[in-house]
Parts: sequence; structure tokens; C-alpha cells
Amino acid sequence: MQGRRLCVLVAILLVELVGLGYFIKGFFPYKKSIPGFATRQDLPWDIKQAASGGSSVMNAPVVAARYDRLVIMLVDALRNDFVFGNNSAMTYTQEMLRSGNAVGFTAKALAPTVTMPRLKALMTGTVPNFLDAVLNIAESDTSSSLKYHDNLLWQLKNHSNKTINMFGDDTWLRLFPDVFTRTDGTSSFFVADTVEVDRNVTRHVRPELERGDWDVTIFHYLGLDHIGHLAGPNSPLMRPKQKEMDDIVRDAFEIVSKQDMERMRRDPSAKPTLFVLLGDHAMNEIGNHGGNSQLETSTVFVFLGQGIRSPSLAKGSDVLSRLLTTEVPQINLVPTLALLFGVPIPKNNLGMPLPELLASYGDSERLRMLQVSAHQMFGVVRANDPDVREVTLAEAAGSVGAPVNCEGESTSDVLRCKYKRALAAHRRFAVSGRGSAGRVEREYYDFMVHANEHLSRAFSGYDLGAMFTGMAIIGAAAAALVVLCQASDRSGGIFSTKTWGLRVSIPTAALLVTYLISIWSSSLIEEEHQFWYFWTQTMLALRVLTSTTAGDALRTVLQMGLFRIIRAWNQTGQKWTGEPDIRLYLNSSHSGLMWILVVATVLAVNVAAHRLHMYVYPGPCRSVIVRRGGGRSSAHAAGAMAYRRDAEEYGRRVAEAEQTRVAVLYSGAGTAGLRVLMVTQRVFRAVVGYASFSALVYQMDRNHGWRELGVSEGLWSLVRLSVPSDQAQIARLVYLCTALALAAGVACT
Amino acid sequence: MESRLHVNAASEGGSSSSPQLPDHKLYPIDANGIQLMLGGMASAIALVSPRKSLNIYDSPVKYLTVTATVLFLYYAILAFAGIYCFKVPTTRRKSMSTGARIAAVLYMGVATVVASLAISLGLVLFGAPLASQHAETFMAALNMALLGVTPAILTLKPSTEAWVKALLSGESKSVPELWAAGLFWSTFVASWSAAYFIPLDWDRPWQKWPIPTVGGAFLGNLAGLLYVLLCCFVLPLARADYAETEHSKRTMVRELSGSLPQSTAKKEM
Repeated sequence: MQGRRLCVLVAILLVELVGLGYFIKGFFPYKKSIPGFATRQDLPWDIKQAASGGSSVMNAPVVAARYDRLVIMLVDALRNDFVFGNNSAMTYTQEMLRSGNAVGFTAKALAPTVTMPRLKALMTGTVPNFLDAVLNIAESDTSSSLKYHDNLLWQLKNHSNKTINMFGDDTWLRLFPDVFTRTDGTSSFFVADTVEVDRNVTRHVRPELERGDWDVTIFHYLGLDHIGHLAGPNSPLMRPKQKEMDDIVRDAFEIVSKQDMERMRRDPSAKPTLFVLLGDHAMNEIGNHGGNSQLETSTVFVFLGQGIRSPSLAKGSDVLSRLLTTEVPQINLVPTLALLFGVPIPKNNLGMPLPELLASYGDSERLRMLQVSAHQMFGVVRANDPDVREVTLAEAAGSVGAPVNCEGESTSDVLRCKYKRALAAHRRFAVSGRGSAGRVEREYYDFMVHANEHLSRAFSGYDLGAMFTGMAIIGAAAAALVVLCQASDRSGGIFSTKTWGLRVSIPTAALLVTYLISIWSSSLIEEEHQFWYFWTQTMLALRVLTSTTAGDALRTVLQMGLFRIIRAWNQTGQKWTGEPDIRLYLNSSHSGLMWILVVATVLAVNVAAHRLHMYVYPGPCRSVIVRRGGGRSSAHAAGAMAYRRDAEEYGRRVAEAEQTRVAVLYSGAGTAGLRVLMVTQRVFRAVVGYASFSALVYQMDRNHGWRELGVSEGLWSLVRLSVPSDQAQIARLVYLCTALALAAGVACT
Repeated sequence: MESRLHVNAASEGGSSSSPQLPDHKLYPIDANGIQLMLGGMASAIALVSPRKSLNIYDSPVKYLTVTATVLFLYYAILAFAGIYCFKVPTTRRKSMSTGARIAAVLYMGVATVVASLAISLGLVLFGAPLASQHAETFMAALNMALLGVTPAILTLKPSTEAWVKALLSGESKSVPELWAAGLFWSTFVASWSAAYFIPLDWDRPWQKWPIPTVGGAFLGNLAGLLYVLLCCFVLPLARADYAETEHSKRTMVRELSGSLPQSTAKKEM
């Protein structure tokens, strides 16, 4: 019977793995990314080149960089209305926008709106998936680094030999190992701190910028995000923080502007600095982010620098309200910065350059930049659909003529046609001056927008069929498992019915069904702990109702009471997280009680472990221990491990213990070995007890618990003497004893 | 308090023409009883609709006190008159003295209060706030006791076996037991299910404590009442009707064929 059950369980496990495989196949889309890093070889040919003489990239023109230094100020969870809204405290930034000295956008981030995937997107221009959100939490994970993926920082460092510094969230350090010269990473995990985490960054702003030996500096501020999580976007902490960020913008920009004047005076070939204020994602009404809602994905770009002028139409007092609705995709930052700094665009980028920032270039330069950008995107299209052929210069030159309507069977054909059409229009304008620059621009953007849509959908589209197949398989396996497990449930009465020859327990079925339904509600997922609290009490209450003795019922009610206390201990979740809980009382006004409880818990755990330890070993060893431990009472305790309600089971176990005891008593087998085992056990228990005692003393010492309890200083120092100060030693001792005890147990069987 | 009359064709005997025929007159549609019950329910339902001065959202304690009073009076009248379930036994009305009736009412009251204390403990264990809103929790518990437990108090013997047999076992029940169990379970299961609405973030006024729980209890009680009406009242009548029709059909066939076969009369009940 046992063997058959085991076989069925293994079969169910295999079926579940198959279902999991299907689900993963559908959930993690296949994304073909181009390996390697972009170089000058990847630039397209000169559009004016003669079509006959073979396309050569050796003399491909490069548009000169407009800037040579970059300051990125990334404020985590900066929503667009924090900068552009009426309630914003960022007066300097708003003034710069109104006067036309800065260009602003609402940058739309894609889900998952969590820092690491957004940083990846901001630097590589790719569309990440949910796996990145999972890896966001794994602090020490290095598999998500962009060491082997083409990104903007790599290009700036290796193509233009720029020195890059970073101060702020240490996620950057994990994503870009070996890129930064000077860093000061702050951990982003402790959300409770909203002041120090930014001061750690701000203390570097003035000194680092004034040093002048940098080319790219990144400041990543976490305070705003922490305020959002803690108190929400409308809390009184928000406006002072915005003012703080605004002051940083002003200070940093003024320093670099002054430095620029100096630099350009001394060296005529020096170029100004570009200052970018942005956010990686935004926040919703309660300060959280991660999803796809409008509020969570509306972050900002603000560009400041010499030569940045907003178009004349976008000046005036109502420019800010218009900026709230001027939406651009966030990944457009990548090609924009790459083109402004004259570095190759990262190979897997899906963004387009922002036209407002290219407005100050001449026509031929601007069109060249767009050609470069379109060429790069066409490369991504080709990488994902090998059937798409390269568009040669001859082809582009040959199709100069009447405009063509791009219809095709597959999207790849349409994209190729649009790209060719844009190149043709560009060539016509460049060679013969016919057409207009605006027209060529429109063609290029038409192609790039379409390519972006197509590729984004391909990269983040889920294969729903595979996902549903997987879920159905896993669901069937889980249902089979449930039926198997509770088919032997003996509690009858009105709580179980017989369906299709199987006994089904109604509460279990109700639990499963309601749990599956609760998954569809986001608030029941956030408050899932309430679900489990409720169901635990329900099951215990049903146990009270079906218990056979009054003592049993009372014991279960006591369990319910204890569980209620556990429930009130620490408030979590979203809705009621601010409610007072026992932890609050213990930490603030009743810390003496807390320490008493700590000591009592350590004692209770030790006593329970001592008693439990005796019954860990199966077979003859246990019964010997039972015998040495003291006959009848130990047998009783052994029986206590069984279901108390089931009198027969209990009686059977007691009889079994007695029987083995008698057998061993008369067998006389290996008494010496057993004696060694007994000694090992006692030593083990003693060491574990000592280890927990020393851990307790260590904690009480560190947190001054002894003062709360009123223990005198002298007495405490005596206690401290009996305990070693190096906790690692004790841990090692415990590991050693555990290994010995396990070995003894194995030898015993 | 004697209240387990197994209403069965065989035991009642009485005014039926043949002992084998189910006499559907055994399930009396005594006008007084039904009118009393329906009237009580109607007035309770009338109170459930919110009025300006008595609104469950504004002052749940006051509202629940009024509902509890109405329910208590309703059941007190039933207990006093010796009515339970849908049966009005003709014999009993004369035999109970006033003292016995008052004792019955008192027993019902005390037992209800004890049950409401147990229920409020249960509510706290299931998550009701412990340090605040005591009045709300107690009034919710009192209403739930009046709705779910009082029918059982009126119908079942005050012994553990009787209660366990009626409420917790899966055996077939007599009509009074069915009445008690039906109302008990429908009230509490509906109240339990309504708790699912509390953690949802719809931010509705009826999601505050204790409205979902006690509202669920009321709705469940109504549903249970309809179910019990069906089971104890409509179905047996229909069965009796069918039995009588079958019997008269068979009698006609016999008379027509002229023979009288032995022991073909089938007992339907």
C-alpha cells in the first residue's frame, strides 16, 4: 500500500514538472539578443556614396558629439507630477522649463516598474521581462549583470574613454561591474530610512563634481521612493524631499555650468556638459510600484545644458501642464544620449532618438543620426527574423523614385519596405535636394515606431496557449494530489460527502476553491495572510466541533486563542499595516516584558527540543532511549506525538514501544554502542543548550536587555564572562555536534 | 421542554382513514402559526431597510440593538405560545401552564445570551478587534445567536448528544432537527463567507466591522428559512399529495379489474 502510494505521488510530481515546463515556455518569451558590442563597423554607409562603387563603411561619416560630459541624476520613483505638477516643490526645475532653458518629457516606463529592470532598460534600450523583477530582490545575484550586454555606459567608457563615477543605489554596481571608477553604493533594501540614504549621495555632489576629473557622473537618489513606500505620495514628507532634490539639481547644474565656461575658455575643442534629471519608475496612489498602471509608469526626463532649448511653441506658463501629457517611451533615452555623445548605439536598443533634442542640428547631420538609429534598429529586426535581407546601397539608390505604399504579408516585409523607403527618401534629399528634411524624418520615424511596436510585442508577448496548458496540467495534478491526500481523512459527520466513490472533506474543498478564487483579486493577494489566519481558525474551529472529548475541545480552543495572539503580534500587508500591534507595545512601552518573553521563549524551546530529541531515532535505539528515559511516562510522551484524538492509534503506539523495549531488553545487542550513543546525545543536548544560552546573552548584551530587566551591572558582567564573545566559535561547535549526532543516529539504524 | 416529536405517519395516527396512508393533515397549516411567523419576519425585514434615523452605517450598535430586540420578542412570543417549527400541536397549547411558559422564555433568553458570549469569543478569535469596538462585536454576536442558535434552543433538548446529533452528524433528521440545523448552518456559513469582503479594498461603508458578518448572518438566515420551508413544509406536502393520488389511482384500478390483490398497498412515507 505504501509503495503504491509512493508511486502515485512520484507520478503526480512528474506531471507537475511537465506542466511547469509548459508554463515557463509560455511565460518567458524568446528574445534573440545580438551578442557583442557595437563599434564603428556597425555604422551604415554614407547616403551620398556612389551606388556602384560597393558600400564601404571605412569612411562612414560620424556626427560629432555635441557634449562630452554627462551628469545623470536619477531620482527613484519620480513621478511626472512631482516635477511638472501644481503641487510640486521643484521650483528651480519648473523655472528652467518655463523659460525654455530645459526640455522636459513624461517618460513612459514599461512593466515591471521596479528599479533593476528599469535601469537595464535605461542603459541598454531593451524590453526586459518579469524574470528581472524576481532577480531584483536577490541581493547577491550576479547573473543579471550587463557585463556581456551592449549598453550605453560600456560604449561611453570604451568608445570615448570616459571616466564614469556612480553614487547611490548599489544596483548599478551589480549591473555594471568594472565600469565605474569611483563609487559609493548605498543599499536600497532598508526602506525605513529616507534621510541618510540621500545624504550619503549628496555629500558627494559638490566635492566629486568640483574635482573635475570625471566624464560621467551618476547620482541615484532613493529617498523619494522610500517616502512613497512608507507614507505615500501625499504625505508631508514628500514636498521637503522634492525641494531637496530640486536644490541638488540647482547646485549640480550651476557647478557644471561654471566648470564648462572654464573648460571651454581654456580648450576651444571642449564641449559642454549635459545634465539629465530622470526617474526609473513612478508610484501609484499608495506609494507602491511594480505594475502597469498609469501612475506607476509615468516618470520624467528633464534635459538641461548648453544648447538645450525647448522649441518656441513649448514655452510659457502652461508648458508644465502640457508636459504632463507629452509622453515618450523611456528607452528613447539610449539612442538620444548615444547620438549626442557620438558613441555607437547599443546593438539591442529599441528606442528612437528624441526629435526635440536633435532640433538644433543641421539637416544633414540630423538625418545622418536618424539613419544611424534606423540602421541599428533594422539590425535588431534582422536578428529576430533571419529571412529579412539587408538593404544594400544599390537597392536604396535604385528605388529612388515614386513613393511606394508598404503593404506586405508579414510585418518583417513591411518593416523592410519602410526602411528602404526611408533610405530612398534620404538619398533623394541628400543627393538632389528634392523632397524635404521633414519628410525624410517622418519616414524614418514611421519605420522606427513600427519596428519598436513589433519588436516590443514579440519580446514581451506571452504565449498564452502554453501558459494555460501548463496551468491546466498543474491544476489537474494538484487536484489529484488533494484527492489522494484527504481520501483517508476520517473525520466524518456533516463535513464530508461521498462524490464519485471518494470521500471528500467539504472544508478542504472550500479552502481550495476559495483560495483559487482569491488569486484573482489583488487585494486578497496583498492580504493573503488574512486569508490564512482566517482559514487556520476555521479549521481549528471545525476541529473543536468534531472533537470527541471535552479536554480535546478545550485544548483546541486554547490553540485558537494562542493563534489569535500570534495574529495580533505584527501587522503586515497593505491596508492595516499601521495599526498598533503587540510588537509596537513590546518595543516601546513594555520592553521589560519583551525581554522576559525572550528569555522564557529560549527556555521553552530548549526544553521542548530536549524532549523531542529523544524520539528522533527510529527503531531499537529509540526504545532503548525510551527505556533509559523512564518507562511508562516516556511511552506516554511517545503516544503524545500521535493524534491524541485517535485512541486506537495512541494505544497501538504505546504497545509497540513496550514490545520493542522488551525485545531489546532481552536481546542484549550492542550495549556499548548504545552507551556511546547516549553519551553523544547528552553532550549534544548540553552543547545546544549552551549555544542558545550564549546567543541569548549576546543579544541581551548588545541591546541592553539586562538593563530593562533590572539586572545590576556587576551581575551582568559575571554572566558575560561565562559566555565566549566569538559567536562563530559556538556555531561551529554546534555544527560539529549535529554532525556527530547524525552519524550516531545513522550508525544506530 | 419537550420538543422532539418525530412527526411521522405511524406515530401520529389520529384522524387518518387507514394507518398506511400518509395524512398530510399532519403537517398543519395552522393559520395562526404561519401568520405569526411571517409577520415577525416581515417586521424584521422592514427594519433592515435603512432609515434616516436608524442606519446601520452611522450607528451600528443602535441598529443592531433594535434588530436584536425585535428578534428576541419574536422568539419570546413563539416560546411563550409553545410554537416551534411550523407545527402547532393542538394538545400542547392547553397543557402548559403560564409558569412553564415563562420558564421556557427565560430558558431561551439565558441560553441565547450564553450562546452570544460564546459567539463573540469566536468572533474575536477569528479576528475581531480585541481592544476596541466591544459593543459592536457583542451586538453582532447577539444577533447571530438570535438568528442561528435560538431556533436550535427552542427545538432541541438541552443535552450534548441531541445537539451533536442534530447539528453535526450526517444522519437523517426529523423535521424539528432539520429546522434547527438548517437555520444554524445557513446563518453561520453565510456569515463566515461574508468575511471575505472585509479585506477587499473597495472602500465601501458596508465593509466596516461588524456589518459584513452580521449582514451575512441575516441573509443566510433568510436563505435557510426558505430552504427549511421547502424541506419541512412543501416537500412533505407534495409527497403526501403524490402518495394520496397514487393510492386513489390504485384503488380505482382494483375496483375496475374486480380483484383485490393482497398487500399491494404501498406506504409512501
